[in-house]
Amino acid sequence: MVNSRLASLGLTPGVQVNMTQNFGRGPLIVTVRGTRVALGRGEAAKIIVERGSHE
Amino acid sequence: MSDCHDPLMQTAPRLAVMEVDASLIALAGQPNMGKSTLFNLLTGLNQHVGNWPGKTVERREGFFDHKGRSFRLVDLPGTYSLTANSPEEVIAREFILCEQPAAVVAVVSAANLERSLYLVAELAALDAPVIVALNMMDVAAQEGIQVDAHILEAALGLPVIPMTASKAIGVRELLGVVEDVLDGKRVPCPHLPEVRADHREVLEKIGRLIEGHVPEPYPQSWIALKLLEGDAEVTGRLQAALSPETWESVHGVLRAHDDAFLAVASGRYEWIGRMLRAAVTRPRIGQFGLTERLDRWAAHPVWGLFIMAGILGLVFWLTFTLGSPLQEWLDRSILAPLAGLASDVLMGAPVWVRGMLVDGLIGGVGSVLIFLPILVIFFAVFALLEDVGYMARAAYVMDNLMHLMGLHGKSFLPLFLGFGCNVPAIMGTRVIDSWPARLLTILIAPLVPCTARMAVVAFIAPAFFGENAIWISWGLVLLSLLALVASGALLNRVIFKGQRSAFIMEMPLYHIPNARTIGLLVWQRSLAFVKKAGTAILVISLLVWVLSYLPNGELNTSFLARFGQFLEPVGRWMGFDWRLTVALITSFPAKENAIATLGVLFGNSPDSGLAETLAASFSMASALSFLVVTMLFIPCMATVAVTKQETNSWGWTLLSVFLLLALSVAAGTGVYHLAALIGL
Repeated sequence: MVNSRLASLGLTPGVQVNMTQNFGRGPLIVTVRGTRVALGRGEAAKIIVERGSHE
Repeated sequence: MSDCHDPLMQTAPRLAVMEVDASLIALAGQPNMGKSTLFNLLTGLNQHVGNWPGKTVERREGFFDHKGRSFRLVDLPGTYSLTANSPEEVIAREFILCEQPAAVVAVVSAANLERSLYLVAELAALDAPVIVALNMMDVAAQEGIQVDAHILEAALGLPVIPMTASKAIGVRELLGVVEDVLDGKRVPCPHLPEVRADHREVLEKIGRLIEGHVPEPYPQSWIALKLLEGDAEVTGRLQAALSPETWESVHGVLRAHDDAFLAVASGRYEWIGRMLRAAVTRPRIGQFGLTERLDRWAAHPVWGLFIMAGILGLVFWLTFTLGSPLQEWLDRSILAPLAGLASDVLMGAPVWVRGMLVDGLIGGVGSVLIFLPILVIFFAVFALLEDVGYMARAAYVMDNLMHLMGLHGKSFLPLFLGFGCNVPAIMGTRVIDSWPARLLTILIAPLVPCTARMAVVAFIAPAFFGENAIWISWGLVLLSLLALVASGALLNRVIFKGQRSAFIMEMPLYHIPNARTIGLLVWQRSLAFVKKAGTAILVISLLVWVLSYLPNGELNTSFLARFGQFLEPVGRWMGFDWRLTVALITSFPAKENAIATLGVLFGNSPDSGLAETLAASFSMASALSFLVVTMLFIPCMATVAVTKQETNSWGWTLLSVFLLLALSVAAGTGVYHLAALIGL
């Protein structure tokens, strides 16, 4: 359910995610496929990312 | 690449038995794509807002004429996908499958094509004639993104019409294409996305297993795809349609591939990537211009809160400075002459007829009407903030606080609306995706101090506390909000066992608001309020009037007074006499009635001397307790009615009433004794 909501907003395996705002606590904003998406910290913690090159 | 003569697509012919409306057009699109703007542009005031049958999801339908032809336009709920995550998504796809619109206009944003084509991929799979309205060309140009509509059209196999709905650009072209599709001059022939290669075989296997068992009017290929995606609604439907043995084998295949929805979603995005490769040129990723710069402040965990508090303050200031004079004017120039006129006309009628019509009917209508200017201003500011894209930021910065109650940022939006009026706040909880979170928000929404309650405070507080009235007022607001957070946290712990739903929300790009969109939103919200609140307030106003008149025409000895005297022992705990108790009871139809009732009971009109009389009759402790109880008491009749409508349950509605009753009596008693103790 959460997975499929994330997928419909563009968060699918292998996609490039840019961290737009993260103050260490509380919700954060990522940019994925040109869309800014706000995520609760709990939801964000379940997404496994690999550090990529800085664009 | 697939083609239009895909054998799988042909196995489920479109239903011929159903009556198909040849002028029916559906409008689909994700949120923040300008779908409502386009809908409003096409239909204007020629639209009807209701509910989808059996659902608390808004249904908007309208009519428009183009070149002498009449079209019926249905605005489907804005959804990101068509997988059964929410009632909205099920409604959208069921409508397309069962009503079979002659064309589906999919609104996408040129500034955000990659994500917005996701829904197009889903729509095309429904075997519906899809036309792509490539909206927000102006925003795309502003962000430096160029889209070539012709290349996109060739890639998708669907008509693509570039447009800017907010400036009414491209509408004629869109309608021309709609006509062509309806007349069969153009047949959309989509190049459908494919499932990622590693799952294609599984999909074919499922297709073979369910062949011939798919209930009409669902296309078999679509059902197979949704099964693979783990769509709960389709899964349930098929389980009922298939024989247990067949279902067991289908289920076995699905269980072995329970991560398949990611393959399906990835497949769609791969398809989108192919579609866009040649059609879109974009600047370096990460450039957001205006939105980026504004969000550095508006979405900041500290500054964002200050900005929100500032905006909230400004909204109130604007609402009351503009609204109060309007209210007075309405009262003086419309209602008072109307009541006078009615009394004159009814001179010969029996006293009770006159009283019922003048005091009950006109009084009841009056309290709704008087309230409207404040509400309209509040709605307008709210709609403006919504249309600009700010409200998503407000939800984002409030997320931390909402977590105390097991809710997340989205629940803050209806609560914000509650500062204007609790009725639209409870209706506004529809934006919350999970039912427990929505229910909890409905239960706590009445604790948001609405403008009607603030009107009572604004009358009583200065009478008793003079210069300190402003601090008392702020204190009462703060108390209400503390009560809100405390009861939210408690309810979440006790009833919802501390569960919390996921916070996933798009932050749209800021953009210039559209006056038409805002105007229509204000119009619709006000109309809904008048319809919902108006009827409830009217009925109860009449009832209260009858109780205050019977048996002998004297309020002081009426049934209402007797009821107040009966309840006086409870009132005593809070420092009330029977008159304050009656005033509190009559605040049920509409909060501001409390003042009018006190006026009648003390024989002073609120304009002359009532404030002084009240100050002489009650102690400060009683007044303070009365204000506290007014803030926390059972919400008004209209709010209770809407709570019933939105929860569709008397149980939850009664729970809400009981909780607030208990809370207000307890708080009133506490405050009264505390205040009396320090000698107020």
